[in-house]
Amino acid sequence: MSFTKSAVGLLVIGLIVGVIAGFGASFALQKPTATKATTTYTIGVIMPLSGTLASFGQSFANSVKLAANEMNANLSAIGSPIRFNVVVADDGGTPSGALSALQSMYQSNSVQIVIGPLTSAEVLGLRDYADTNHIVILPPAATATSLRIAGDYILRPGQPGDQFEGSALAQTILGFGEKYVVYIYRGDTSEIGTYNITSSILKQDGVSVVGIEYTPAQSDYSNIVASASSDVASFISNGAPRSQVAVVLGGYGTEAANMFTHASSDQYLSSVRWFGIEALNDNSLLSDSQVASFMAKVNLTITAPQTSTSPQGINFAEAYAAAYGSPPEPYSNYAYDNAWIAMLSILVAGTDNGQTLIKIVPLVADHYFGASGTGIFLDQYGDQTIAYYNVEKCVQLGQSYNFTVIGEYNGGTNQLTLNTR
Amino acid sequence: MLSWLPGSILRSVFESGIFLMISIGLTLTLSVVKLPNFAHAEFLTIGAYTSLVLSQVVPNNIPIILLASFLTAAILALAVHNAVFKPLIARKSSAYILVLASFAAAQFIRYTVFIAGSLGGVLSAHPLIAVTPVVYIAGQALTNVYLTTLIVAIASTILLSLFFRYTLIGKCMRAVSSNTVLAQLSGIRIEYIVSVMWIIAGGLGGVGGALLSPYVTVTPALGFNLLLEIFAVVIFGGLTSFVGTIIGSLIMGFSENTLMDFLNIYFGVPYTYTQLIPFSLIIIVLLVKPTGFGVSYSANRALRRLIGVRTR
Amino acid sequence: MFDIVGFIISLVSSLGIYIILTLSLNLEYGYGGQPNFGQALFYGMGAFVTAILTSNLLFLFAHQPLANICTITSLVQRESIATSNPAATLLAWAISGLASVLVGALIGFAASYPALRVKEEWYLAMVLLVAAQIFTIIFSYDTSLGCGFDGIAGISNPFAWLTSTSIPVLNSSYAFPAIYAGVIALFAYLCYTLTERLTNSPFGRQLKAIRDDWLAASTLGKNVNAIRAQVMVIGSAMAGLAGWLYVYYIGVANTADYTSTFTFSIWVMMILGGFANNRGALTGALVLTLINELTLVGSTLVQTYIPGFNPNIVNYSKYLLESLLLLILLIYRPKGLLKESRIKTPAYTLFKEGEKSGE
Repeated sequence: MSFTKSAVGLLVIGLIVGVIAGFGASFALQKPTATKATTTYTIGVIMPLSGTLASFGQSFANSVKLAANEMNANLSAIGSPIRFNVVVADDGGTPSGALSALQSMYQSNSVQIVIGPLTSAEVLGLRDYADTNHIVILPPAATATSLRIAGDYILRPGQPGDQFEGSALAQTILGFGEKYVVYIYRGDTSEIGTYNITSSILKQDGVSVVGIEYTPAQSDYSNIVASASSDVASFISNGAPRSQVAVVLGGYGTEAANMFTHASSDQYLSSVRWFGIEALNDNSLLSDSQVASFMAKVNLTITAPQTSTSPQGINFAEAYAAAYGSPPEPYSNYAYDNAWIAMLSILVAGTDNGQTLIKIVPLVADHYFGASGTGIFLDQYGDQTIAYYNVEKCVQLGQSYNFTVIGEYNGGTNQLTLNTR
Repeated sequence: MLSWLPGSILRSVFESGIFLMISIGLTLTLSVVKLPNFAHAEFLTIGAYTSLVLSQVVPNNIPIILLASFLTAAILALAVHNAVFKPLIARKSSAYILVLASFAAAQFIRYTVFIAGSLGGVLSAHPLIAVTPVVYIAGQALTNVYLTTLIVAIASTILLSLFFRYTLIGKCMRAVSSNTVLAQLSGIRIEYIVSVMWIIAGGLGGVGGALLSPYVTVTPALGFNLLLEIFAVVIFGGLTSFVGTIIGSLIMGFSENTLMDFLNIYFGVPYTYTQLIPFSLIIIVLLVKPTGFGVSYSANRALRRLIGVRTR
Repeated sequence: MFDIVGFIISLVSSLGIYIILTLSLNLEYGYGGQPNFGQALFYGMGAFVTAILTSNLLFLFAHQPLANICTITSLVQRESIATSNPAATLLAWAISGLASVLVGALIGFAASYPALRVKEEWYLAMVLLVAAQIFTIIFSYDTSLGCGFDGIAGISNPFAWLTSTSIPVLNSSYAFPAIYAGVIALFAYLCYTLTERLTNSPFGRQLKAIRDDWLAASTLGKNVNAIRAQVMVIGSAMAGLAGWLYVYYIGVANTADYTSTFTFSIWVMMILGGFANNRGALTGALVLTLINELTLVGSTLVQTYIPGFNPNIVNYSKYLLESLLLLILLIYRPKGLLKESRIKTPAYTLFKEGEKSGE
């Protein structure tokens, strides 16, 4: 009994000593930087680095670090005493994880501006804490319309919201003259939101839409694909010409790969045109020959925010590949841009105080043109209002596959221009 | 009107085959060492990862990949047995402790794979095994992977039943599962038999994972996501019966595919609720007919019936 | 600068909730012998009942029309009520608390039926585990129950309205989280007292008897079924209470926070501390919470001074460490850190005192 008591006591004392040591160490270790007269600002990154979305989270974190390294190099080249440090925390993809990550960053490093989290659910978890403690949150790719709230500390100068993606997709589908659509979508708020917007626009134009929602993070979707196949089959057997039947995939990553693999051996699904969201322009899909050949066969057409028009976008992709050995995941350019906006805001404001930054970030964002192209202009909810989309088609180029631009869509004017089919 | 049915039945049969391969091991574990092994699904994951890694070296070479998956999963199973279960069973831990330990072992293996995967950059990747249609039946494709699964599942079933009926080790294993003490008294080396059991249980799970891998993208949580469904199969089959597992895997395959298709087409039930079918069935079977649909033996039950007390 | 005040506030808040959950599990399994592998179900139900009820009650008490709680306008309105209308907020908070406890108790009662009917020991564990999964699926996809995948948001801290008052210290951004942390600590203390009283009594003795040998206890005339049901009811009510406290802390009810992996963490806490020992439950919760908090804090601190440090191993390592810890415990020290405590009923305590003061 006494052994366990002393063991417990030692353990607890050890942990408390550790905390105090850490506290003291952080205090003490800050001294040397003061004598060298450099000011280091810390920006935080909260992303799922474990779990099903880990590859996205890792890519976003890497993009932020890339931006910081570039900024630091430029600052040191001009002899500036300012440097930026990036602190990354894993939130496991859950709201509670996001909250814990933000708390630890804020409490231990006084971080007051954060790039991340990845999904809208995680944002909702840390929202209250961020508002209370005045921490600016910049989620690069959480596009759910449920985050369109004015006056809070969540700003989204990154990816345009689902309402734009929905219109882009809908207008593209209409532009190809499709009248019978089977829409497979991921059962998360973003894709459900996009589906709702796209399908309502399509239905208003007299298009028949069948929606199939699927559970995320499962290993196999053969029944979803079979259901889509029989829907396509019944459209065709009721007299619809194949050129007017289409399948839309509001999904990405490993789930998309699984569905494409199943669909590749299905005669109905292989014979109609497919449409999809930007995230399908993913190297892991394009490098899998079975998946990519199917994507090319069905002329998979996606609507992607115009990033290729920006020289910064091309530079970013190259720099990322050079630094990390593989291309960045889709949407990473938004993380990169958000990091630059954060750092520029800190430089403009001369502080990393959250209450000051919340006023400066919209100003900087509105004057920033980066890897995501097309410029940024935030509305009263702190969300992007500019949305230019490329319409891209998957094609085979020799032995490999890629997406080529075949048209564009202007989110502001709701105009679609198709150059080729 | 029933045009969806042939494809649905085909998929049900395929899924039954996969589940059979994956779940036989669990049935064996339950019957020979009375252990509800929550780490069983990790054998699946290891098999899938073996398939992923090996397919980079010998793409499309299905026989070698299956063999290698069997071996790696069998080795893992033996390791888990020796490190975790042997000491616990030796001190006669209760079933909950074994469940808890197997859960912990599963989490340990899973996150080791997470770390290995994230360091090696294979956190989620697709094996280089092409899925090609071999023949079309009623408009639905029967692919090379489907065919292989069916062949392997049927062959395994036949081999296992021959093993249990005609080989000495098989008969010894049946003896151990029905009464361990008596088996020991009659000179059977329990530890040897148990090791063989783990090799078969783990190996078959690994093969199941490898058979699943060409369709899915291999992630560390692949097995964990299927864990409860594997248990469902085994529970439907009455936990310890070989024939029961076959029946259980058929029930699982058909309920998740044909039944769900039926509900979706005629009642509009979305596919996101698919898992509710097997999960609800687990609860119903456990409460109403725990012997499942197979043949099993339990002295405990006899005792309770004797006393007439309907408690646990 | 290390924000020690903020760290303590968030530590106390999460520790308090883990303590309540570990005490609940300890009661159900440590004393009562019922392996509750579905604790996330009761915890999560408490959270969702709170979220749904309070979202509607806020409108009711603020004399505003009820509307779909899943829309942004609803969220914004609810937050403005929470910051301006203390009476409505606190009343909604209290009522949803009562409801969570009640719903937890009811579901616990329902869950005790499988305990009566299952034939093998671990079946109950299986049934509860599966029930928790079913709960997750239904509340993730049924938008009439749970607002879908992103969960129900806009559950503001019940003391957030302090910031709009003009009281000097209380309207700072530290005050209301600190007050809420105090409330959580208070409830944790109440739960501890309750379980101590409950287990250091003839009822506690009965529990242990049934846990160790239900057959013998039954032959001695104990109503095994009724007592087991009581334990599940109390334990689940406590878990529901924890769910109520937590959802007000984080502000959103999302099924991703109520998984079987989380249940497993609570089991680790209980086994670590030593089951059938309430102080052990406190110890286990403290040790594991400290490990979690400190690995996060440590990771962010280290990144500031060692630029090459790769943080994505941290979260994985946490799970690895947890499971390894449990395996080592189960194999080498299955009783946990603290031994199972003697049942100190009032009579026993008196007897012991008499012994000391006597000879």
